[in-house]
Amino acid sequence: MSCTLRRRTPLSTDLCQAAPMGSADVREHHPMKSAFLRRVALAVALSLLAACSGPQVSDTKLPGKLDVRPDNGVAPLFTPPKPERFELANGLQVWLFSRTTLPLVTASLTLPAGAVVDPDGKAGLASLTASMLSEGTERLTSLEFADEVEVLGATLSASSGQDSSQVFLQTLPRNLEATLALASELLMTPRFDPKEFERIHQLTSNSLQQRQDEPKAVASITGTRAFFGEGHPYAHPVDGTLESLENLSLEDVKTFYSTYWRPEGATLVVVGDVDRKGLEGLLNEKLGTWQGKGPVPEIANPVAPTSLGRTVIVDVPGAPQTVIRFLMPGPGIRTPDAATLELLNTLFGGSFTSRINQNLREDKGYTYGARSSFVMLRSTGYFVGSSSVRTEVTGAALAEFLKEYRRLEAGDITADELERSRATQNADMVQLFETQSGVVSAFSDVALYGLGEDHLEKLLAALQVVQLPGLNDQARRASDLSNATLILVGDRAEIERQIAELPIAPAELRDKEGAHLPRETEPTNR
Amino acid sequence: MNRLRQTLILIAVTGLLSGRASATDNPRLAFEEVTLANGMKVVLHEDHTLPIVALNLWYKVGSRDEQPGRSGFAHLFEHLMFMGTERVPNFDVVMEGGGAWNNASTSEDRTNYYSVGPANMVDTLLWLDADRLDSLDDTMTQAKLDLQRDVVRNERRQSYENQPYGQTWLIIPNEMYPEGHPYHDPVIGSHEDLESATVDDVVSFFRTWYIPANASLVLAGDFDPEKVKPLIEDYFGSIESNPPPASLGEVPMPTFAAKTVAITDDVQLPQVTMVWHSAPFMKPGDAELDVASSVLAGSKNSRLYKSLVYDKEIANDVSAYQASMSLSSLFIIEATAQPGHTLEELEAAIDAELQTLRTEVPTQRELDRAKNNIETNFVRRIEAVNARADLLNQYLFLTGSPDYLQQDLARYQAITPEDVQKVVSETLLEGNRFTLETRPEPAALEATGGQE
Repeated sequence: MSCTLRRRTPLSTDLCQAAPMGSADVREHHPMKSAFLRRVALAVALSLLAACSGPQVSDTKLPGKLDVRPDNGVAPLFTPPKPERFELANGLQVWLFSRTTLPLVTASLTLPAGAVVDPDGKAGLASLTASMLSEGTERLTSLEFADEVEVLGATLSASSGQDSSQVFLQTLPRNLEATLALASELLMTPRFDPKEFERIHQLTSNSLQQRQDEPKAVASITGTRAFFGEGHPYAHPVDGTLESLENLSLEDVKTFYSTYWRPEGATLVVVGDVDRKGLEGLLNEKLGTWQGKGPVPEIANPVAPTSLGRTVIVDVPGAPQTVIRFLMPGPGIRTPDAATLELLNTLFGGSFTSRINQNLREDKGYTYGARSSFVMLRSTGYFVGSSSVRTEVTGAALAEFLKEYRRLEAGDITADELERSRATQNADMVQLFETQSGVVSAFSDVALYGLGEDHLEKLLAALQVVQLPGLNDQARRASDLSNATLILVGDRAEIERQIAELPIAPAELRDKEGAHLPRETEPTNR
Repeated sequence: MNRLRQTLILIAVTGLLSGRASATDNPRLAFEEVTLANGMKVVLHEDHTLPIVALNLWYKVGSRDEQPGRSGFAHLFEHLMFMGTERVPNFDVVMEGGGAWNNASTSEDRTNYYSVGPANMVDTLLWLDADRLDSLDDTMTQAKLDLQRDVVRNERRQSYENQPYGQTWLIIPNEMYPEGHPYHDPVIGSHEDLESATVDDVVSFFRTWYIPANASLVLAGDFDPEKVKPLIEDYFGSIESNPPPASLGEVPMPTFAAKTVAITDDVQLPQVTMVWHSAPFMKPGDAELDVASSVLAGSKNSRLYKSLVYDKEIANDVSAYQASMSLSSLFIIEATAQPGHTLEELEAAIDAELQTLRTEVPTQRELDRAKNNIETNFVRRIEAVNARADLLNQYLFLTGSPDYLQQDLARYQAITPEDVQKVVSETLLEGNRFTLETRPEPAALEATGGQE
């Protein structure tokens, strides 16, 4: 009852007592942001004292303990841990964070091949290949394999993202050896059973069909497709489209597997209750003989899209809300400006007190929340701002978005905003290390992109030295309305009526998978 | 590298598979408990692993306590708790200015508020929560109410109306609990009732429910108990409290005769949701139904998943869970049809599996799968300090003591295959089931060639 999950996913055995009826409504949820860090916050405390008008004494009550605002104090210094690193007999890189505080081990094997290397016309192949890895091994059928994992109380799954594919596992320490044995089978001897392929293909097709019912998912896939442009390696959805799925065969899966699933370029990040000595022996036994076949493929480094401003509408007749997404060109993960951009994002749409959330939610009441983030891929990326607003205020909400982007262009960030963002980022960096899956996820990216094991430490240091002029300079560059891709998912007739006067590019229509529709399509009535 | 300091949390590794583990071998969360003179309960849980503190407050008030015609009010009020006071005009600016974040949630039974921040913020976090408990009503205005009413109505649109199958969660409470029952309305409430709320309602709700004697506070993480105890006494101990409102007491489980409701939604695949009344949270049958949900739909080899999704390939997904609440719970099974298959096929297949489980004892291996997953989840959910703080508060709320993690896990360890069969045969009957059938709008059917 205490948790905010609305319902459980089909294969989840999460004990979390989900309240029924979608209860436990959350006031607002800002997922932990991607950045990090900690610092001496003397400056923060001082600026806040200045910003918050200080303690006030009520007229109606005697001055009491509550009438004096406490000092925030000074944030303790934090140094992000570094991994112990070693290499297996076959060259597989292992990064270990040994922690004995809880009887749990979490690990992820990440390899540098995701949807970005899906062949032309075969969008979704990396993802489908990962799905097939959980469908049995030479020794075990799909059901037998699942049973062996389930009886350990373990999680073992494979999946793909834009730049990578991974195997994730989580288990109790006493079951680590057995779970690793199963992971090694999954990796090295997948069954690739034609019957299971037909089944998974169908389930994937169903989920792509269901995705069309989710306005936010529609906005997300339409956004990347329109922003990167047809044919760009980052344009297509990771799990493909209904059309591309039809082109995917079991032979394609086998080819993808033998080309990309190999130890060269892969990193295994392990966090939890296991020491190096024990782990190294276990891993060499279970994974040390894993070998790739044929030449090592090159890592894809797509160039930035040649983006032009555009507006895209996806029609959902009668929708009570319009989903808004602005996508603007942004840098790849190796940008030297990462710290500055994280601070910029925090104050623009990455925290509760950020500009767009305060404006659209807390001032206007147009939405349940507005947020932004920098999505940084291997060699390019984008800056996305989003919200779901009441249909009747679509135009008004867009006008506020435009206003906020123009403020960034004008470079009006204040010192208070900078220090608040810095405090938030510093604290986020510490909280990243609270959960094993958080550490695994952060360092898997660090390894995948070759950022160096001290990346988080450097980022933390960089956050402390960002100054207002540099931040405003980055803000002016990041806000790029003339190259913005604007996605609007909602009632087309209402949207068209409300955006007519706005200074945005003429609207084009797309379907619920983000594909172009002819202009003459008439709005449908419900 | 000594940045990870010694932790005070007492965690023992234990075996579950053996079935011989006693409750005292299970993980335990160390804590200190204090009750202030005004009746407020305080629990301190130290953990110095990272320089983080979490402040977690539960108020014993939820949607069950709303007045007639004010559905959604407990949750709307929760939003208003962040709208500032005379001393703290902008709660979130102070919070985030120190690098802390916060959130809150409302359920049928309770409302919780939590803040997580750097260890140095402990004083400020305590002060912020004490201040609003002391004085929120002094500066409540129509403008604040109107604004958060708009936000909450947008939350309703975003989380229910603009979500596929989102109506399900608005319909179930209305159907399962009769008019006048504390759980009759969904927590989010109706637009009409939200529109009716007044500033007087807000002030009166605050003065009734938001009092120290109706609250419990858990502080978890990196702090010195000898320093925070006087702070808590100063800030919270100085707030006067009326006695807490009378408890609802035992509310009998509603009687229910089988009923089916059919609706349409802007979706492409039909979905069926079956709902039963079930044992209250922490009461006999509650843990058994958690295990039953795992046997039914917790894994690829579970009964319903294997039958409907894997073997027959008539469903795209199936889930089952015990939605535990303190007065009476609901057990829910939900399945979405594959294209070309009907809800009638799904319901027949679900009935067949339920009938088997009513009459035959599940295997030991099925129990092992369920219990081992439950044990891993127990460990997984005590990783973050705020998760631990919330769990301690939940145990305090439900059992009267925060010291319940060991016994909670022991509830599951004690379950036998016979227990599962018994609870299923007594609870999941055809004669007391509510069935909601959601089918695509006729227009969507034409577009996709028509299933159903």
